[in-house]
Amino acid sequence: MLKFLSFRLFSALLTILFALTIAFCLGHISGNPVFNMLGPTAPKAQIHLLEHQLGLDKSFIQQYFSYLSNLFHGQLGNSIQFESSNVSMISTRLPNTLELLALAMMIAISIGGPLGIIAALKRNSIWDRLASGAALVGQSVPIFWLGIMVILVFSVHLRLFPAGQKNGFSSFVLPAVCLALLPMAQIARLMRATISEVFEEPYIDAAKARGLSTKRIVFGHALRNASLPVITIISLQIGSLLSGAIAVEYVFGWPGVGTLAVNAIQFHDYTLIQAIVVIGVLGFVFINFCVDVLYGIIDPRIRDATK
Amino acid sequence: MTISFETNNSDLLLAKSKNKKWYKTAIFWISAPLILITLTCVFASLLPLSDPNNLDLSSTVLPPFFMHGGSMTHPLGTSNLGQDLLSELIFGGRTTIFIGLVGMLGGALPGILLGLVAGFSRGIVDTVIARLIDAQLSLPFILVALAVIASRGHSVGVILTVLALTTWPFFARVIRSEALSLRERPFVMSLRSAGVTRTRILLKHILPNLFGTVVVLSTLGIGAAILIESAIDFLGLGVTAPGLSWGSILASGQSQIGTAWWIAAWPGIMISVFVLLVNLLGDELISRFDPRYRNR
Amino acid sequence: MSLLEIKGLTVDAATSTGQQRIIDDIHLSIGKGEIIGIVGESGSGKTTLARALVGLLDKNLRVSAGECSFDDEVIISDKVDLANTIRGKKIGMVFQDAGRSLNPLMKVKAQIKEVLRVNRPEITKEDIKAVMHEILQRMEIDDPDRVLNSFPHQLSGGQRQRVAIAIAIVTSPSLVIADECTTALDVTTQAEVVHLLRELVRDGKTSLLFITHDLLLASELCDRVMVMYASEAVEIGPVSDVLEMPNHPYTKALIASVPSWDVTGPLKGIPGSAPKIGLENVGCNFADRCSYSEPGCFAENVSWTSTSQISGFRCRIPLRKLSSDDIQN
Repeated sequence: MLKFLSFRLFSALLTILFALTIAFCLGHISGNPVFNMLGPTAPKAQIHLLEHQLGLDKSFIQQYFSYLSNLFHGQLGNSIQFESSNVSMISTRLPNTLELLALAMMIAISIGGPLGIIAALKRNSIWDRLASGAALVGQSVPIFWLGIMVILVFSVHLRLFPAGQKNGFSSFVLPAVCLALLPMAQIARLMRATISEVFEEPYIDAAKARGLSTKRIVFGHALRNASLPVITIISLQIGSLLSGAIAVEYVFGWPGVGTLAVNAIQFHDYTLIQAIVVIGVLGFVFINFCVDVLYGIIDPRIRDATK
Repeated sequence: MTISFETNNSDLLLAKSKNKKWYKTAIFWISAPLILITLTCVFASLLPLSDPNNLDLSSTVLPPFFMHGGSMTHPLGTSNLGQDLLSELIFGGRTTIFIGLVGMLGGALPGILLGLVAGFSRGIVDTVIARLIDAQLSLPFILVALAVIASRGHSVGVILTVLALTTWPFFARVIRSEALSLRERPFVMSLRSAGVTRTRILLKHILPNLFGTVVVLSTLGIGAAILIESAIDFLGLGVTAPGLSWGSILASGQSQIGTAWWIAAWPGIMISVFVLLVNLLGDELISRFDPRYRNR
Repeated sequence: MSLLEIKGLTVDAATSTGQQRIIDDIHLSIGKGEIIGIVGESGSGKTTLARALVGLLDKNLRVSAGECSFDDEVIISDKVDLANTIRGKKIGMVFQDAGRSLNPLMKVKAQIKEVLRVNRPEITKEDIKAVMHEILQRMEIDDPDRVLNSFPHQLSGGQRQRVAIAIAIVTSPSLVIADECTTALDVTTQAEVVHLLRELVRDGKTSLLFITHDLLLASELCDRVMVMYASEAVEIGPVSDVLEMPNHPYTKALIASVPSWDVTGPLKGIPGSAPKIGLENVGCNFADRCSYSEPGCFAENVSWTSTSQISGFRCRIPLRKLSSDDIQN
């Protein structure tokens, strides 16, 4: 187990390094950000000053290493717009985003999971078709548009739920549901497919022959085995969830890291964007690491594999 | 509610006979509207549409024809600058579909190549590529978009780059795992022991086996690309005025949402319908190509 | 007084090419402590028969006629499916690929414990450990503690097989159905498993239904054997009778096709292949491959002839010359 854990940890760290490097390269090799920030007509002196402030006058390699060492020291620089530390700006908004993400994921799993199981058990029935159809639609609708339409219908016309700011539990409902729709659909479809596959396995037949009830087989045997691919998908969904969160936060005016990011773009706040990217990367790799470990806990074959 | 177990063989009952007329198959009925929409958008300039850039400030924010105040001169209504929405939609579709296709290709080609190389070579090459895939996957597309656009600014080229960067790992991962498992198959081992070179095996034997997967991934990839592209445009990071795409029309409609909700509604519907059709097509193709899923 | 009584069981399948008859009019009774073998090639319907008995037919299969009674109670018929009341408790099943009949994510002891809790709830927690040890020892497993704490993939194939059998019998069922459970094994392990099964029955408390395509294996283990071909039972009787003096040409051909040490020359197969049976088939199913067939064999359905309480055949021109008092209808 220890060997498994340490290998996973090493993998995670390597991935972080690669991801941060990619983020760094993306930001730097595609041109001089200072031009975007100041405009092409800015006087040279100003350009040089900003470049020096941002450390952009050093060589590429030097910048890379100072980037890494800054990260190591928890230094993410200062925002250009607001002249305050990026870390503090992100950390005030991060809890809001995390709450939204957590709620959305909970909705997605707790509705998507059972939906998929029911669809698998009643294959080709009307419920299955409906669930599959809904899942398909959920994967095709752009999330920001859904947010807009949802606000229009539920907030403006029906006045059921508030939108536009974070204000009490009811304001969580619309954005969380919007955010949850796509992962819910994916989880439902995947659960249906994996449970169906698991039911074909011989040990399910054997379990039936041993006199176990349907309920026991579904929850005790099938679900455990089907959850493996689903957990993998969830770890992937965290990625698309953050992208969706940025769109949803923007549409609903949610005070989270997402709106911060969009504002940063519009104001060409290059350092803040970099900082957000770094935080995002660290977050994902950490979550993926947790999921990997979870995987190892559930499936003993993974633990025992030599690599 | 009774719940019963159903196994693979139950679908024998529902197995379609293989000899259906081509015009009755699901693939036909899904692809037909897709092709229709695409052709309409591609040949937009040949159609009798008003120039979408034609600002008619006397008829701004007109509702669609089925609402009070609308008319058939502007069937879907007009924008806040008097542009006809129908022509905006069709011209915008040209951009969106183009970006969707090219963006997908930009991700598919390197993705498939890297996946093949990784899965087939194994060893250190595979480890590096696999870590690279993970690393890229851990960067959600928005962050990549932000990072690139922050320094490069807006343009179609930037969107295509972002699309390529965000979608290649999906292709690579699937192709890699298929290549890995194919490599272990007896037929590959017998080819290698017969002295066939690895390149030849890769090109003549492995690749054709992956054809089905590639087709399915590409189809689904177009849908994903369009969704990503629309999101980028919507956030103002991609195609902006005077450029037209479904995402940018949506963005302009957002400000009018209280008074002229239809401006935002039409492009969203178009995107949803198109991506839905593409996803349906992908699903159908999966059932055709992959025998495991034939009994979905 | 028989334990399991099958009367005229018929199972049909709905396939994409129409209705197909998988089992046709099977009659069989199994007594306490008896070992019955069902022998047939693949496609003969023997596995479907086993699954029909425990109500585990695939969704496109249904019992269209006949019934099956356990302890004098009808549990399976075209209208009734009460098999879930006795599955696991009174009938245990061992599958062909034993390793895959175990859940890969659960430890062995969890799987045995589960079966006991469900079917024998009266066994207390303290006793369960003892019961598990005892059953593994009966299975001749040397290291019961290690095996109990292992996952299936950590055990050898032979150990998995023993665990599978253990799970089937730990609830002390009156009938064990072994569905081709030796087919996937090498000869040595096969012999061990057969030995275990025989020990099982020797206690006198358990009956065994042993399904196989291997006629010789059946003859080693079983008291009586039933030969199936293309959905029908073609012959049944005490194993020595069936082997030495078969009535049905198929049985004879099957015996002849088994290679033996002292006979040289080409292997004797049976020309042609087994047919799929539709619902409207007329005539003997084996007629087109039979060396003794006559036009009449194709024209009319052949009914069952019972030669005694426990034997019979389905053939118009049986191989043994019969005197009229041999036949009991």
